[in-house]
Parts: sequence; structure tokens; C-alpha cells
Amino acid sequence: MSIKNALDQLFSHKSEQILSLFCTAEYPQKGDTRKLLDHLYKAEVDMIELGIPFSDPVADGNTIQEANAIALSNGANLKMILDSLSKQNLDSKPILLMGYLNPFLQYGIEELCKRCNEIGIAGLIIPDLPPELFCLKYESISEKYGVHFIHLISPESSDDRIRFIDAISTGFIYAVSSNSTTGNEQKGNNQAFLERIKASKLKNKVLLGFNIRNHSDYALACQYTNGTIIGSQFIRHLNDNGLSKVSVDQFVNSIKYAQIHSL
Amino acid sequence: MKADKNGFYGEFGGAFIPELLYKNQQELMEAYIPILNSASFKNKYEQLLKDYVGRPSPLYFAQNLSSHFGFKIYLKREDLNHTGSHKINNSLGQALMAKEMGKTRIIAETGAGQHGVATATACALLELECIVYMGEKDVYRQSPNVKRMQMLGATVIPVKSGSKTLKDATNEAIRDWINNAENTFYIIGSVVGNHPYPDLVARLQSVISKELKEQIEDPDFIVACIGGGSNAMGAFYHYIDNPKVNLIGVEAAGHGLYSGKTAAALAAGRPGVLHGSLTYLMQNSDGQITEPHSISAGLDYPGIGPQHAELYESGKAKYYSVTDKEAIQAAFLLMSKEGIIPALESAHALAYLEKMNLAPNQSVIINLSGRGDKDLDTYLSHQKDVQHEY
Repeated sequence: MSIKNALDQLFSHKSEQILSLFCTAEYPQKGDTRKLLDHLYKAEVDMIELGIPFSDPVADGNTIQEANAIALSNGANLKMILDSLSKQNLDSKPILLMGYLNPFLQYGIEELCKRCNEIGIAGLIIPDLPPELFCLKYESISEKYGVHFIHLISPESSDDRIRFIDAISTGFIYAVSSNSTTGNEQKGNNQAFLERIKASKLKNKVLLGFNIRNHSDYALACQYTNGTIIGSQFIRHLNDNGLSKVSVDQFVNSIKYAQIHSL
Repeated sequence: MKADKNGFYGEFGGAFIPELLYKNQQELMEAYIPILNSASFKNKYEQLLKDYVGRPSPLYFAQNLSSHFGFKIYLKREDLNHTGSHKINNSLGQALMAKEMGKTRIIAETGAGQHGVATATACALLELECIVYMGEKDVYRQSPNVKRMQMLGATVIPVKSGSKTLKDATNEAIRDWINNAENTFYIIGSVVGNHPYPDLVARLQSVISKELKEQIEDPDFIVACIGGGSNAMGAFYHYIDNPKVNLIGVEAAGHGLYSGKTAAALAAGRPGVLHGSLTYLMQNSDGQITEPHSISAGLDYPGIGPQHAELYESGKAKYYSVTDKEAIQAAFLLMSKEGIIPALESAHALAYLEKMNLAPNQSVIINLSGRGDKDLDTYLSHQKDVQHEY
């Protein structure tokens, strides 16, 4: 398969220490999607994931659950989010939509991919769409419209399973750091899994997500994978510090660079 | 009723689960049929159903109710099971299976608390740790069952998200499962969830129709209430391809199908994906699941099992709905005519009798899925309205 969009362009010139930030669309306020993208375009971030809110986000912990509920109460829906993006002059940084299957399904997967292609959205991450069903139903749509469908692997995935997912993936593979919902503060990096990923020598790039909280998590992940995805911790930061250029830059710096403590 | 290799019944069903649960799902897929068919499981399960649950549950000819309506009415007395409903058939089977698979920690969701109580009971018996998720609203309206679960050693966790009912309890149970995939077995209480749960639960509940076949010649109608639809699947199971028997599922219309306060997923919903399967769901145009309403906590769920969605599409079973008010009236009628206090859920099946116009020699089996001890407060609060109307 040969999809060539903003995501492939990114990987063609950068394959290490990639930082992708996730935030729920239309959060914390209605209309904030545009503000968020503007700040992220200007920050040292390589990729942006926009969360499409859903009423029943079963793979998410409290932080993202709450963000979903607030975005929905702000009146967010997929159509409106796509409309706000099409008006936007999209930057060269790849944007992916991450969300649960049902809102995408009700919109129509083919219609959505067509729209993504028009707007310039690079891919979709749909945690409750099993790779087998992707192959059966949506692979040709993905190819036709040049939209990557990103699949997940977890520490529970066997080596065979990881090889299967690598074989059917384009764009990158989303590796989940531990067996948990998003933003679980009790769980952290799983060293054995990181080593297994590295030893697998996958054809696709691998980005590590779930429970990445600080520079040391990021730095460790970057030794074994092509980079990280941060969601819950970024949203917690926005909750505490607001959505502004200063706040976003401050967060990105705290992840990318070791903090130097002055006396 | 068989699922295809991807777990679909026609276009419904499947296993829409995050990769984090893939290994657990595969493990269960590979294990469940061999375990169900093994002599050791069968012996233990059948012995427990007989001596511990009290099966076979009687089929009772309701003389007074029959005279009232003018046709023959039989009650399949699942309310007489240990723990007071059909839920124990499933919980015991799944708990035995969990044990066989070496799992040490059990989680469950519950609405009315009947599945929670049944699971807490099975776990006490089989010495398994038990955690039950229950919507905060249900914790309040079904408090006797919360106390029963606690007495049986289960930890009941009130769920405060969303509509604070069964849907949200299920979300939270799935999150727990994701976070504890290694040692935890999720005992789902209805014919919902990812494949193979609908099939597993239907097989365990199929004991209901297996007994019916020994208790009575083919009836003209079998009527059962539907939330997720486990008691109905159990009562329909061995009659699905029998054209002589009309199968009727009764959904909870709440305040009415067009009131915006309903839990009738087939009548008021359309296909979508929730809790691991593609099925009829109540949702808005954006695919957000809408909050259901039913006076009965056990039917207060925005979806329906995928097998029912397929039976509905194929016409092999018919589905209707009755309102909160009709269910309450039917419950009072059963109390006064037969001296039986039904669960609010089962009262929905009873309410359908009012809509049947049959000849005196025709027969109806109502699956009386549970008893109404847990619903006394609700019944008492409606006593005046009902007496006023009679």
C-alpha cells in the first residue's frame, strides 16, 4: 500500500524522538480546537492527535473521560469538529483523529475518509476497531483516500500478533505502554515490552503511548521506539495551567528537556 | 443460533474490543466450548443447578390469571431460583469456568443487582474474589441487593459517571478488565458484550427452554422481558427454529417510545457499536449513546444483545414494548390474582398479556425471570395510583 500524506512526510525526515500530543477536541471550551492547533503548530511538537469525544470511552481513565464529557456538554460532535478543521489552514504537521468507532460509524467510514482526505487529516486511531475487521471492511477505503488507520499493540500482544499487526499497518504502530486505561498513574513503562518491541525490528515506526508523564518516561521510550504520544498528562497540565501558548510551550519543554534545577 | 467465525449473527455481534483485551478474548474463545462440553464441568454445573439453585424451576399453570384473560397462562418460575432470578444460571456457569481457567479475581456489572447478587453468591461458593460495579442511581433504588452482595463478601463499587446506571457500570467493569487483564475474569450478566459472551451466556441460560421442552407440549407463545436479553434468550433458545412457537420479547418503553425517556433499543434505536458488539442502540445522530430510562433498573440499558437484533431482523422473534405504568399495573395484577410479587423486569413480560387476544385453548408461557422483593419500595410508592385505577 502506498499512502503518502503529512505523516509519511514527517517520517521521511524524522524518525527519532517524535513527540505527539493528544487533546480532546472542543476542550476545555467550545471553539478551543482551533486555539489548541495554533499553539501546537508553534510548539516543538511533531504530530497532533485530536480526540473525538464519545459518551462511553471505555479505554480511557478519569482525565480523558472527563474531557469527553465536557466536550460533549460543549456541544461537540464529529461533523462540527470536521467543519472547524476544514476552515482551518492546516499546517504541515500531521493531524490524526482518535476516537471510538460508533461516532465514526454513524458518520460513515468512507464518507469520513473522503473528508479527511479533503481536509488533509493523516490518519485515524480507533481503539475499538479490531485489525481483523479493518482488513475485512476498511483497508481498501484507507488506501483509496490515503488515510492511515493506526493499530494498537500492548504488552499482552504475542510476538505473532505484533508481527500480524505490523504486516497490516501503515503510518505507525501505537504501542500501549502497560495493560491499562489511559492516564493510569499506578502504571508505567514496561521495560520487557519495550525490549520486545525493539527486538521485533518492525517495518513500521512505533510510538509509545498511555501513562507517559514526564521527561524520563519520554527519554526511556525514545531509546526503544520512535517516540511517544502524551494525552492525559497534557490534559491535566491544561486543566491546571490553561490553554495558552505559554502553557503549551511550558509542557512541551518539560517533556523534551531534562529539568535543570537551579539552587 | 450460531455466530460466524468473527462472532457475528448476521450483521450483528462481533468483538469490537481494544487490543488490550485481545488476549483475554482469545483465551475465552478457545476455552469456553471445550469447558462447557467437558464431563467435569457438566457434572459440577448440573449438580449445582439441581441441589443449590433448585432446578428444574417449576412451570406453574396460573389458573386465576388465565381466567382473568381467557386463555392459558403458564409461569416459568425463575423467581424461585436461589438468589431470586435466572441470573444465577449464568453466574454459576461463568464462575466455574473462571476457576477452570485459573482466574482468581471476578468482576461483574449489575443493574437491578440480581446479576450482582448471583455473582457474589457464586464467588462465595467457589471462593473467588468478587467486585461488582453498579451505577450510583441503581445502588440507591435497589439497595436491598447492595446489602445482599455485601453480606456475601463482594465489594460493591458505585459508578458515578454518565447516567449512573447499567451502561456506566458496564463501562467501568470493562475499564477494570483492561487494567487487570492478567488475573481477572469478567462475568457479564447478559447476552451482550464482545463475542463469545453472547453465545456463552445464551448457552448457560438455555437450561430454561431445555426444561420447558420437558415440562410442556409446544406452547403457542413464549413471552419474556428484554434488557440485554438473557432471560429471553434462555427461554427462546430451544424454540428458535420451531415455527409452531411464537417468541415475543418485551422491551421497556419507559414513559413511552416517543417520550425521550425510554429503554426500548429495538423500537427507538438503530445499529451501532457499544460494549464490544454491533447491535441496536439508542443514540443520537452523532453516535453518542443516549441515556435510557426505565422504572426497572434491570432493563435500563441503551442496547440489546446482538442475537436479539438478528432475531428481530429475521423476524424469528417479535419485539414489543410496554411502559413503566403498564408494568406496574401488571405486577399488581399478578400479586392480587396469584399471590406472587414479580420483579419489575418480569412485570414487563406480564404486561404484554393485556395486548394479547387469544382463544381459550391457546397457551402462553411468561418467563417470570425474577422475584420482586428488591422492588418493594417502588411498588409501595405506586400502590395508591394503581388502586385508584382498578
